[in-house]
Amino acid sequence: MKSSARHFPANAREALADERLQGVLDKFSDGFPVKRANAIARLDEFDELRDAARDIKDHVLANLDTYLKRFESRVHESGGHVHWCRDDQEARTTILSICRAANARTVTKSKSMIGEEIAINDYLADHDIEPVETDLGEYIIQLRQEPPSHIIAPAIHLSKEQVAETFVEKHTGRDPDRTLTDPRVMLDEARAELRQKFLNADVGLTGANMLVAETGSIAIVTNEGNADLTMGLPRVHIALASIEKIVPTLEDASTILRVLARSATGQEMSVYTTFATGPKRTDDLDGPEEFHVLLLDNGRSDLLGTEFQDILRCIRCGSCINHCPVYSTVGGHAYGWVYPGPMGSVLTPALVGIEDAHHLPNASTLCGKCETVCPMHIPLPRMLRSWRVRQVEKNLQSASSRYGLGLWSYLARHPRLYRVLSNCVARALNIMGGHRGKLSRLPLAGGWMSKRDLPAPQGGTFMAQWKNSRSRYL
Amino acid sequence: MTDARTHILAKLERVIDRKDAGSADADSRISLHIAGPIPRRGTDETKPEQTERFVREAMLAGADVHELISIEQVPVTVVAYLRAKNLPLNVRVSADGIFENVRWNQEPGLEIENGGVEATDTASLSAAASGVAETGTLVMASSPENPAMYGFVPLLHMVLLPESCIHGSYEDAWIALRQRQGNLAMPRMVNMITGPSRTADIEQTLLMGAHGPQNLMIMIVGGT
Amino acid sequence: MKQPDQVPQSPSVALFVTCLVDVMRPSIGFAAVSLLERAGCQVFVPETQTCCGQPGYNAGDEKSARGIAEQVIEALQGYDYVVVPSGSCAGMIIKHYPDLFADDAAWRARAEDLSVRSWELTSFLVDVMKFRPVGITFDKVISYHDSCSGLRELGIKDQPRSLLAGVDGTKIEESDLAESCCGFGGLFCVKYPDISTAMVDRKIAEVSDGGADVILGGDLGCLMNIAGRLSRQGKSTNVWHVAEVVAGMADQSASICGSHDAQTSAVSAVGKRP
Repeated sequence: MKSSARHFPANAREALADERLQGVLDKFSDGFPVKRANAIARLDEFDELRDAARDIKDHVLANLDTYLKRFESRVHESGGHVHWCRDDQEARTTILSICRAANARTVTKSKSMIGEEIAINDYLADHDIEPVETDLGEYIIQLRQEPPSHIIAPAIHLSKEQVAETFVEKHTGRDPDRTLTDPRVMLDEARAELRQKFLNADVGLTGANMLVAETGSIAIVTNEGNADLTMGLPRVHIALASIEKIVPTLEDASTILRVLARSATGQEMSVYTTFATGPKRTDDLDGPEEFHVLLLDNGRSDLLGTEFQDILRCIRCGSCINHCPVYSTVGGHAYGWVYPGPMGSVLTPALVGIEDAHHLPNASTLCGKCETVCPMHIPLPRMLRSWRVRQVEKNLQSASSRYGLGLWSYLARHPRLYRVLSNCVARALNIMGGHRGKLSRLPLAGGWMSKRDLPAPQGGTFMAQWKNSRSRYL
Repeated sequence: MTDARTHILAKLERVIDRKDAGSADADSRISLHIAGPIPRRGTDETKPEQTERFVREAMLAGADVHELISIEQVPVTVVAYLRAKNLPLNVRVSADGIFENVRWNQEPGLEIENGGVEATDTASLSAAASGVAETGTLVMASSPENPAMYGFVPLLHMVLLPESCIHGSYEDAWIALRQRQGNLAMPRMVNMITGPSRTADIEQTLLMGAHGPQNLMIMIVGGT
Repeated sequence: MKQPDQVPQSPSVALFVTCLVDVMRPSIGFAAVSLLERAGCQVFVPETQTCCGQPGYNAGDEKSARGIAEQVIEALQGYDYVVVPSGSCAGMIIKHYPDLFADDAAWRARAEDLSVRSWELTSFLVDVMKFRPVGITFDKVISYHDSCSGLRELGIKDQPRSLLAGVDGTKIEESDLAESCCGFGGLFCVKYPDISTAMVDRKIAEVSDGGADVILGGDLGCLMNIAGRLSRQGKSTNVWHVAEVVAGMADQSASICGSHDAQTSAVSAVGKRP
């Protein structure tokens, strides 16, 4: 997917002006956070589990090569194939060659953020293979040719009216004058359309929430069951996973599962958690004849050993996104690439380059809510700030902010000069404010003044008044 | 793509900060199956309490649960449920040994078929390897007798769960699964199922039966 | 959260007034002094203090932030405690100064020493000095805004509420969005004014629905953002720093962005102290 992260301010303005989107976002902020809080209130050990989940991923990252090799040999033992891919290009060509070998014409897909990252749908379509998204949300946005706006709820930006319009337009075999207002009826229609696709597909392409080194299994979590139909019905199953998805054992997977669904949707457990190990076995009545796992690096290894390593603990629950006040104001598309919200603002600069994504780490108030709700204790605000440090090092910040902060820092280190100047500014603004006690226009303060008044200072500075008052007492 | 493999592994070797441990530690972690913190609700309960919790949690997750005294009650329970859901009296039943002595002919009109699931199937019945009380989760282990697709293709999935197979936690279910498999590999598919299929992708409206079953019916059989 | 050690008799307290309070609203500084003195502290205002360095730090300019931090550390040495009437500036000194000097053992030790001695104002009054206001009345329905840094870096939540509970006539109407960011975020509100405005609007709408007369908080940056937006919308909700209310000085200075007509100078208010 091509990034439009550099247009974040324009994207955000557009989102703010979109009344329908704003209505959906209002509803959004009351949904997941409340459900998460309720689920966590039911589990006394949640914090202990978070610590343990963090420790598991830290241990994995410190032994990543060992665990990947272990996972690979287990996959081989169970009759599957492992493909290592350095970048998105290698991943796309690998997938295409597997599909070609299988003479594939259609590929069903369950939701995979890596799939978005490597833009596999467009690539397959360009090579005359039809990709069909099967997660309901992904299916809807695929019909609309839109990117996802949330990592676990890709169509969260759409109203049901928009979904209905899309179905009426795209489900061509049906009465074009039918009324679609009930979500239940819309779902049944989509289920019927997709069921046929599931049955006809030659290849099933899934993501993976975890890779279990102990067993060579891929673990996939869904609520719809679409991943299971995607991997269970076609002749070939391809699982697409980035290298940091490894966990050592089924026990470790269990610890992470306990924090995953609760953090994501507020469920105790997602409906389907599937551990798939190798292809169909002798006498099995169903299952794929081929089982392929792609291990994709695509920039992950560049983060190991850096101040951004902790983002590799991310389990893509979306909790930071669900609780982010900026996300819930502008929605996911404003961020301009695959991963929105706080985790995206840390990850996107790493994957598409800070030059392109320079707005993202700055478009945060560093309010810290994300870190408090992250089940993996990822220090997101610290890493957003670390990207800002990188920007300063690379001289990427704007000239006005460079000079402004430079001047400020000079003054702050020269207290006497600072005293005099600050007192002059306070007095001048106080006079300008007059009896109104506020200012509504001021040169160079457009960012603030366009939408807010500025309180007028009360008179001289505290320091000046303090000096006067204390010398009077003593 | 050997060169990509070599390249990635060489790079990892170069950049990993190995303050935590080396490969010996990784191997022992795998062989010891060290468990993380297990919620008290999964460890501190007696068998009857575990069954009670399983039932409660599974129902909270939207499953329908029936507690049977013996396996003989399966046909009548199945028929009553199919009727209540307005479904045809056709069931795809797995070849699991547990169903061997079920007398389906007790229920006239009920049609039973074995074998692989078909697209037109409306209801299926298979046997669970375990139930986990912690969250009311079924653990289904695939095999030639219990094909995984039984749980996904039909509109209704019915599951038989012996009460003796209910465990407190996921960890206990893994121990049971490893014992059951012996030296065999992991079952091809292990499906942990918590309630029926659902989606909230249309304006956050929660709806059951997205792609998988709209109803999940669990029969817990005591005694065995 | 910090735990206080043994508190000395009549401890010496350096007030770090913060650059915003210094220029924009000295009455908060005087309220802080008044409260600290009533709590039994000897208050000093070190003359070479300026800014805590947060603007540069949050903009990624660690070098300039270090330069400023060194000067703040110098300015604030030798006092039993350092008290800051702002959660975010206190958080900067308490949490981030030590990180700034990760590679410099000598300065890191000094930063940690300052960190241990430093407190946000309401937390210092409640947790260290066990202070309760006496004889103050403020007959208003209050919505309290928990500023992000104070809340999440320093665990400040109950302290301002417990101070307000000691003020006669107060009623706190808790907003569902009390802990939501107001959209200030330092330079964020200048770089992304549209998003910032939408964030503060949501907060304001929620408070209005709750029926509060006034909004109080412990960080002037957030309060200026909220009050500035309320004023532009023509709303009459008043905004004060919690210290002004607890010190009984809210009626002596117009609310933030309010008309100065009724204001008596903050200096004379301190002068009236017995």
